[in-house]
Amino acid sequence: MKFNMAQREALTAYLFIAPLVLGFILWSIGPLLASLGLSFTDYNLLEPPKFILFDNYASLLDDEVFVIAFKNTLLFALVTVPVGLAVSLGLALIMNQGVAGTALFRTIFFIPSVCAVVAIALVWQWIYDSDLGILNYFLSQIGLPKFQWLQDKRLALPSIMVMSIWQGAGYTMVIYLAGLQGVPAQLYEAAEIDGAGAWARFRHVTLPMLTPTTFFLLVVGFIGAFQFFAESYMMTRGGPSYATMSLVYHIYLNGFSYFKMGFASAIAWVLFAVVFVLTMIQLHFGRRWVHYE
Amino acid sequence: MNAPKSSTTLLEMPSSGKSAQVGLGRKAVRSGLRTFGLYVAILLMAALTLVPFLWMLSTSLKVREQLYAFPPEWIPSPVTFESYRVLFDPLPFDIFFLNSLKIAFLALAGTLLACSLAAYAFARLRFPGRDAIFALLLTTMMIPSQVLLLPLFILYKNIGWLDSHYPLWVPAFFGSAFGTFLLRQFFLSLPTELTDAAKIDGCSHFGIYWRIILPLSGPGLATLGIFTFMGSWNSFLVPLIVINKIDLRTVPLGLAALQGSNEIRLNAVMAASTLSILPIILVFFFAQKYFVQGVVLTGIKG
Repeated sequence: MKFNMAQREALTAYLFIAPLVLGFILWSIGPLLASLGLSFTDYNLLEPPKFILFDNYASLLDDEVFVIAFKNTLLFALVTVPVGLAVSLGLALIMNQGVAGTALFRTIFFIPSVCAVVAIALVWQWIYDSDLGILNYFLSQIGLPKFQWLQDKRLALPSIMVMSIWQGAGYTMVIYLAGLQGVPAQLYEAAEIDGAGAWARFRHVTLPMLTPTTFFLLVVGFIGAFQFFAESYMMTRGGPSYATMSLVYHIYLNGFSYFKMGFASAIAWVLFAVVFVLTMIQLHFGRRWVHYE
Repeated sequence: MNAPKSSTTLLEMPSSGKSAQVGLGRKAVRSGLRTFGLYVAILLMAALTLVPFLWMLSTSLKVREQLYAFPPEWIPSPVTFESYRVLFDPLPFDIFFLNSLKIAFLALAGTLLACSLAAYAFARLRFPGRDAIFALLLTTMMIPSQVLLLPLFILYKNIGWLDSHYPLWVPAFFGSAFGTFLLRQFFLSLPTELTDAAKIDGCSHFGIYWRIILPLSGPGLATLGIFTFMGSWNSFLVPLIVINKIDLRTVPLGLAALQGSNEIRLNAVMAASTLSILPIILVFFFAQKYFVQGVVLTGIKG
């Protein structure tokens, strides 16, 4: 059989994308559907799975830890993403002033985001240590009492959030910096001629021109924030009294400590559904506030 | 880590001196103050970023007696590398490093190969369903990987991949949506004249990919390579689930194991942390340009 040129090109293309498509089936869509199927069963790896319809989802509502984990994860995302963006934008604005040594400072700010959460958590654990930690030492220098950063129910999650914002700020800053450098200088000149002050220029030129960047960072940031796990695993084991329990941690415990594969899959699908719906909402409303040239 | 207090002055863009009524002297003072404020803000932020790392390094070089000193002492005296030595006694960290390196390089090779082949097809070849398939693949970036963990664990258990390194690098040989997207963006930016000429000379599609596109794509491949290496080196959840045997552990698993252990002192923990981030920081320093380029390429066009 003879192929013409277009057919040969298509055939080559299918061959070239074959590994990727196979990977998509084996490592994405396949497991995604399998976990949906699992979520309707009772399965402990030893006995064959029992089909129990929506029982896992129903019992989620009675599971206090799930409710806490859900709230914690939502809170973590709703705080760390916007605050992280604001901090990074502030950093990027300062870095964009053309001070000497920008490259060096950019490198420094970027370092935390290339490090493993596990390594970062080990260090921050000692920063937060209530007796010997440097944070409490600094506070005691200015006459403040010691805090139980990771042992106090009210402080543990905020402490982890601060660490997480610290770790991610440099990465986001680099993206914002690129966005800032893409804003045409004429816009600022025109605004200045119209008598716009520094704040007005920021509010009416910089921010609107950065909306595509902000939009991208929000979408990606939320997807990432909903997956937080290693921080709690390393620093607090989800405690004290579940104050830092996250959805992924709950999946991990149920699936790989208690081997409740079906129940853990139900949690996983709730996580997926929340991330999916949130992303869709953002994509939908994005059209209203994102300014494209 | 709040926004600087003097933010209104910091927001000012370099202007070309429109306000002529302000005297030159006052203006110079103002701009001097502004620069001073900028540096104070930047240096403060840099200190906040670096202090945890300096603390890590300094602690790793301390002797036992100095570890729990309060107030904390910043400079180790005497300086000792003892903790780097004892670190290897309770846990075989040298093996963890070799494991992590092996997995990271295999993941790197697999990702570059699979993603560049697919990216070439999506960027340069015409075939039915191209855009639909590409769009479908991109949607997988929205799936939190933890959702896939449970069925994959069952799969790995059934094919005997638990307590092996296969789950950590074999998937890389099937590429990733992110990597394909990144390289496709890069390939699209390459000039078409060379490939058109090669086509006229009768070069096959694979020949064009291998002899023209790849040699021109050093920066793109470097960018994806660094991201892949970093992702693999730092990966935690999947290794945590599939690996149990001590000899098969990766560096992050080793670090996590240190934390629960009572025999290991703080200086050793910090020595291990320092060693674990060293390769990543080295890679980052030498390839920073590609790194930033990749962040920007995927960030802006995303």
